[in-house]
Amino acid sequence: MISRLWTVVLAGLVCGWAVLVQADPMVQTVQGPGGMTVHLVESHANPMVEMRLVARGGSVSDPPGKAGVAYLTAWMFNEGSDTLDAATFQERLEFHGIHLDATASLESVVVRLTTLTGHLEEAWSRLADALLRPRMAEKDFARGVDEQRALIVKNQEQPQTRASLLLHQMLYPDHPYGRPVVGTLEGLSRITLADVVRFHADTYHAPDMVLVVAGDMDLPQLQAGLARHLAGLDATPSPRAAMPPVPSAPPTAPQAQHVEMDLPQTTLLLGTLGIHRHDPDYYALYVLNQILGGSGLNSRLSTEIREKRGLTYGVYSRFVPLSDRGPFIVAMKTKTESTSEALALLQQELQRMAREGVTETELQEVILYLTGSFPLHLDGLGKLSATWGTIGFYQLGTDYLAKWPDRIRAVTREDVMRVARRILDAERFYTVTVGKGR
Amino acid sequence: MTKPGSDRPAARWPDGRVWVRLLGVVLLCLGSWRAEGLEHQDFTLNNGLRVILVREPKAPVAISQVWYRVGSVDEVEGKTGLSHMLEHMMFQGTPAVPAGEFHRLVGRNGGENNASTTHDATSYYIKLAADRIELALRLEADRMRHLSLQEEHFRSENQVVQEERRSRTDADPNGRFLEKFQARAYGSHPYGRPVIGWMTDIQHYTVADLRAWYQRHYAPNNAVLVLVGDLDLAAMAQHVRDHFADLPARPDLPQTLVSPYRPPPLPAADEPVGLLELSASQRLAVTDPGVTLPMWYGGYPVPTLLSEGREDVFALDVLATILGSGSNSRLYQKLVLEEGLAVSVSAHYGGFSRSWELFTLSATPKSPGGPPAPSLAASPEGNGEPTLVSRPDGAATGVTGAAALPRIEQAILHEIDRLAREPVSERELQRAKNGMIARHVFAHDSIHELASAIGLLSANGIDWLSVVEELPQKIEAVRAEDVQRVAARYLRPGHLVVGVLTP
Repeated sequence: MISRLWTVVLAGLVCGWAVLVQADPMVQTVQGPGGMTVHLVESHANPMVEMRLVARGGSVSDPPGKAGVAYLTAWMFNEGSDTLDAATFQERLEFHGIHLDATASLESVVVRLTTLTGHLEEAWSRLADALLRPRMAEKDFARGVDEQRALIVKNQEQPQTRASLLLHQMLYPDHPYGRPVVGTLEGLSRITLADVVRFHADTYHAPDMVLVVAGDMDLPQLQAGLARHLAGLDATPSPRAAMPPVPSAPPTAPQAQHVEMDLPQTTLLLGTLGIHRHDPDYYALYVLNQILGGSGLNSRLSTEIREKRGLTYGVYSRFVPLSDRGPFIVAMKTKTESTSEALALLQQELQRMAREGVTETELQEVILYLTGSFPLHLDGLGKLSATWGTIGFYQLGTDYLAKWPDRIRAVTREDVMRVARRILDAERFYTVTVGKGR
Repeated sequence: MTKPGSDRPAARWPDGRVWVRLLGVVLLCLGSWRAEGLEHQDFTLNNGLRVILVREPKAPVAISQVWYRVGSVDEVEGKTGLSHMLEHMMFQGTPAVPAGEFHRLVGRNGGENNASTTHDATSYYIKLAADRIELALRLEADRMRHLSLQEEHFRSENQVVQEERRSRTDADPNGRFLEKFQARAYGSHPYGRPVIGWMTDIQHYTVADLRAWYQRHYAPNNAVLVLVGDLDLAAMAQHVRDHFADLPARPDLPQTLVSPYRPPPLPAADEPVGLLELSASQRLAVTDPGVTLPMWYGGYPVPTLLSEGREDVFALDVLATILGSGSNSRLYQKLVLEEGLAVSVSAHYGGFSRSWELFTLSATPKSPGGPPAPSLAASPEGNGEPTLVSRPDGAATGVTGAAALPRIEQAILHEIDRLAREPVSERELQRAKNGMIARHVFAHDSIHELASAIGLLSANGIDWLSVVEELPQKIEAVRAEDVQRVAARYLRPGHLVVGVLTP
């Protein structure tokens, strides 16, 4: 099942895209070993290959009482194989200039491999080692625990990290989305090497994996590499239980919490439940978010709070669409004395959006921005492989990118109004402040 | 630094170093993968504007960057951070493009833009679909000589900059510490002052200060325009002339003189290379209740391509990799794997600044409170492969937190001493070079980084093309004895400044 879509689908999407149709790499989708989905984004401009392997199994799959297993398991990914101890494994990677590591997030773990084309065979071998034959030595595990403990402790210095952890707990008190990805000191103290071994084994099941290969490789080379190195992937689905659904609303009414830190600046974080990745209002919320507090300095929040009043260096809104309802947040920092004024302005802008939606001018301007800047997001193998990793992981369809600009253009003021009413009711926002007293 | 996220945090030294290293990365890669050279034009207009156009047709996008040769190094006490404040004001309107209109125009055209200030330069970029890049030329030419600088916009933007300083420095214990460390390590050199400026200075600028600074430094003959992307170079060169050729040059451009760097002579054969007691003036100890985990920092003065000692730049770069890059590095092997004293280590060196630089080292100790680490020596690794021989004293005794700092320092100095006394093995040397060259290829994943490299080098007065094309060979040419020599010459205990940050 190979779909050669790139050359045909992008024609005429955006003014100035005619060039892309010729210049852009083809994207081909094939079935890999064990039923793994594989996307190939060919580009021979640089003698390098970037791979992203996305597997189900982030911190939401941490066993009860052991927050941090997913993170630690990802850390252990490049710590050796059955025949190569960690030091030798790492030495061989560096000698060939290969970068290989893994990072866990809430729902997934992302393996990233970057290599010069000339060392592809070595790169495939180490990737297969790490996936199929991890060493899992006790001393490396102990080192990972030390590093993770230091990270958890160091994170306490950062007001935005503390605010974010607290807000997640408030929004998802009984759901794994509320747990910190890096875990807790308590959870970490309970984790054993056996937990990590089990987590690794439960994660890398071919039907739950997507591999994106971007760069200097063609399809026959890809298929040969897959057959030679990854044929041993487990073809059964992961035995993990499905994640429990996010409750339709948090169990407690919206509330405000404060974390005392002796800082000259208050971090403000407001949040509510957003949408999941397949929500039909995804594009409407995307447009809404860009107008309210998206990238750049044109947003309402930035105009009102930064440009007009000079109250902050940066204010933004963001939504994180996950398999289930991820958070919608608004965040900023301001000097202690301006905390109340800033909070009132944030609430006022949320209310204005929920009540009035957006103007036709705002809508048209933001559609111009989003469709016009589309090529900027596909410039480079890193961006391409990350994008296709998301497409594969959330099964957005191989025509996702092709259809994206039209779907943005189709958003109407009524769509934005509908999703604004649904999500942005200021009464449903939880508030965290971090800084000096109230 | 006009908006958060994608800016270059020049006010904060470690990030700045990272960026400069990245730059080296881009440079190397270009030379290594494109033997025939970049398709480019490099010319200077009659008004002195340096123009560098590079065709890079991988994707239908282009980037414009304007680099002004003015940064915090050009400032004076009492007005620190003025270059950065002006960078913010460059978005606050001209008669033709009033405040707010700049971002709106770029946004309507699907563009992204930002700016940054460093010790050496102030730079602005606009990224667009390639067929819209002329908009960037129009906007940049307009604000090069026609900035409005109105009082009301200044007052508001000044508040923004104060908030920026709070976020980066005043509300972050690491930011506070690094500012002090830099001031100590650079001494009276202007690099010792924060790029963003001291808060009291920021609070006392006037519009007149900014107008004077703008008049003094913003002119075509103090700027480099770089365009990289899917461009028709001949047509683009004409567009550049159309937009910029009529801007007047500034005849009396100021030249900032910084005290020249004198590389130390090679140590005498009997001079103790390492393991000396450091004097009190070499130490900075900062206690900060906001800190949860201590940090160890060290810095040695070293040359750049623009100072005396430039012939040692590439050997220093290799030395930094061998010392502190990744888990094969000397410091990771010693402090993390063998001694179990630290969880992370690093070494950084740039090499492209207008004046001399610091070669910096850092280490983070283990956090107290974990279970006793297992004895490394007892781990069964009996498969006949080379494994680390572990000394059980560090890990087994579980020295953590601030208590580990003296031993961390001792171990770092010991490793530097070894590098100054014994040549590295061929395998270790080749591994470092391979890793560096590969990372350099990888870093050229975006036109943004290529444009930044060209702009920075050119603004600083370095021949970008010769660096881009010859750097790989220069790295390959570094020999084991060169690494040993530069370690002995520059990383001497008498030249080290140490900073520790503790709770």
